Amino acid sequence: MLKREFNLSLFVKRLFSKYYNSVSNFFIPKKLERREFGFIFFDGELMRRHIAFRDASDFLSFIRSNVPKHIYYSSAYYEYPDADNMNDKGWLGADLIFDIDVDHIPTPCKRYHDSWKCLNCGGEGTGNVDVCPYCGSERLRKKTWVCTFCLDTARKETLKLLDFLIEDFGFDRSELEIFFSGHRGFHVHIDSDAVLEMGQDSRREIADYVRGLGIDNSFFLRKSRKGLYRYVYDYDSPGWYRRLIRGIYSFLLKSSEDSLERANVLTPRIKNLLEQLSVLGPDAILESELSLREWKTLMENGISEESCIIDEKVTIDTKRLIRLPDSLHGKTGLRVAKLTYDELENEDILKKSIVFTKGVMRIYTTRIPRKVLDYDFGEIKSGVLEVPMYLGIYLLQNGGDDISLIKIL
Amino acid sequence: MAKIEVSLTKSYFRKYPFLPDAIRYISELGLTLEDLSYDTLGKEVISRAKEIINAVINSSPMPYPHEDPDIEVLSYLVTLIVMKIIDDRQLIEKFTTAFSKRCREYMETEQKDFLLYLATVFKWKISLGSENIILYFVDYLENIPEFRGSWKLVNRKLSQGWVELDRIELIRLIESGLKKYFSKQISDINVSEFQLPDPVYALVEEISRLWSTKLAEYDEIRAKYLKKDEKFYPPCISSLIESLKQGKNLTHSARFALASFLLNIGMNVDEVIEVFKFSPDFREDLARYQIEHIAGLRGSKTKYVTYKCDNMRSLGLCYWDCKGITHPLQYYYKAVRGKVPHVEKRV
Repeated sequence: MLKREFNLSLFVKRLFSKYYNSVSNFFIPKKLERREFGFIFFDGELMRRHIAFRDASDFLSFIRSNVPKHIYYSSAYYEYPDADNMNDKGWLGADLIFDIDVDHIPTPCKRYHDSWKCLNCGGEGTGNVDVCPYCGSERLRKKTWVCTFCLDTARKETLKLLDFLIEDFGFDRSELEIFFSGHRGFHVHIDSDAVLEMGQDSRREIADYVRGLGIDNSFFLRKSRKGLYRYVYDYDSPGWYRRLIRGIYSFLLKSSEDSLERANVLTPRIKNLLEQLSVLGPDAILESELSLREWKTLMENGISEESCIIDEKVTIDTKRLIRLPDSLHGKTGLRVAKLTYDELENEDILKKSIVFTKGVMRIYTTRIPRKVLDYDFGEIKSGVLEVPMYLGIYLLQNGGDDISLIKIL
Repeated sequence: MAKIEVSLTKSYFRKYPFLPDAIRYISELGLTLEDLSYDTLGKEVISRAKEIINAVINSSPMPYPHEDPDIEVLSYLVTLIVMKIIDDRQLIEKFTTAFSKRCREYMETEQKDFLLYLATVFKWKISLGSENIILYFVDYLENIPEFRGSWKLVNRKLSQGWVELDRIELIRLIESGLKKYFSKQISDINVSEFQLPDPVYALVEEISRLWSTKLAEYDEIRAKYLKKDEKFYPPCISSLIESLKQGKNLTHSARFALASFLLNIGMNVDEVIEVFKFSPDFREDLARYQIEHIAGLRGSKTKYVTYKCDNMRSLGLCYWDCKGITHPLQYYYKAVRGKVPHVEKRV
């Protein structure tokens, strides 16, 4: 489209360079000299890792002169963070990290912006699938986008996670560092010496806890009479004993009799429970005597109401590299922004993470997702469009052959 | 949190010779390794240490503590020194397991105060709740014997970071804590072979010999296990193979679980590749690369072990309860010995 060859990668790199060379108060991880860093640069797709820095200024001058496309650092602290072999690094401890990514959460907006193509059979479709519905292959090329609805979903999930961390695990709000990932989710880092040396098993157990995995109904129920069961604890009980009641309550509140009927849940006893619910509130659940099967159905639904969808691998792996706060996401150009609890709850996440606010791009598209970031293209499917710089960068970098640049205005 | 204080009498040192107070008491006596080795006290200490280690190697019950606390504490220290010099991970594991079990039996008769004191020796955050004992979740998770059933955190009362425990559970956790504490004591010892007086050195030599004989026996038994017969596989692994045979595509973690299992029961890379040939997107070059990696022939040169049952469950690869089993390989070894574990499908 442009007369002279336009090098998108070089253009974005120049913008990134301007950002890294002018930004002040850049996030410096605690004990930086003990961390491993990894980078993906603009001229190659491979990650260069096992890199370490003496101090903050050493690190900052590196990123200012090399301008990486993606910056990662280890949640772990090592004796020799630059050793090439993981076994030689001398692991000293690791922050506790949670990753919430809308990739793992079903959202209705995905059919407006995501698509896939099977590399095995050539089938294609919209939305998000894990395996090709035609041939069962996992070799899929996916094109995914992020929109404000995705972010909102991930935000709600993150608030759920924070509730677990504060109420059940007793972390202080000041120990929780919340970051927008720069793409489709949020990261929560726990800055507490108490968790540093925890092994992978303990971390997996924490992940299982927030995911509600392994709840054994024999601890939650007791036999009452005639083969019926009652819930063991009351509404003030801590942990999952309280959450489960809350989860069952909200599941029942939002389900209509019809939907329960369709799900084969609406037995006479559940019907009775529904009636009691409007009088007694959650106490009705504690008063109920139900069959084991009925309890199991309610508990399963209660668990999915209350549990939190995290990418457990990130929490379990104590040697993982994660995106550095304040760095730019190479694909979206958005900043990995630090958020307070209140900001996460109430503020416009994109506002905090859009860096390239100035300028407009004129682009040509043969196929554009309906919703991208805070934009809704409505019925527009193709043609010439003018979009703000931050959106243009994302569209061009993620759009492949479908989107090209005409002019920077 | 209130500081927990107990006044320890010397009789505690007999039962718990590892206590910092016990070791301090002995060091205040001003005995050196050298003194120990030649007089009658020394002889008794050495023969006592030998008795303890022998019991460890032969998996027989730990001997009762010596009547004299001095001898018990000293022989404990000599035992640690022998462990340090021989420096065999498996032997240390056997020793710490056996010795913590011995302590557990004594703990069962102790007052709550003493148990709380023991927990503070490991620097656990522990306190008395309204009815029960409460322990900080990190200390809890790092020491529970298994990650399922009543130990699983989702099934516990967890509030503000504190997990409620009863006395019996606390004792079980302290047993795990002791194991780690003993290992740490061993690794913290600073002694070289050359400093050892002759009688202690002779003990090290004798124990090394005994232990190598034992290891050779283990190898023989292990060789018998490597029969690679599918009927001994745990249900999780059989079901992965079944899925492959039906042409289903396995996830990355499922492939890892299967390949590492087969390699660990003694299949070679080619035999494992044969199994994966059923895979719908099978490519021999890629499969070989990945399997060689898991076998430790490439990359980090680490031979990977199959996920344990807890991980299989978290990854959604396990839908069964195998009685008494915590690792798929453990199932296999038991089954090969003719003790096929009882399996129940989880609903």
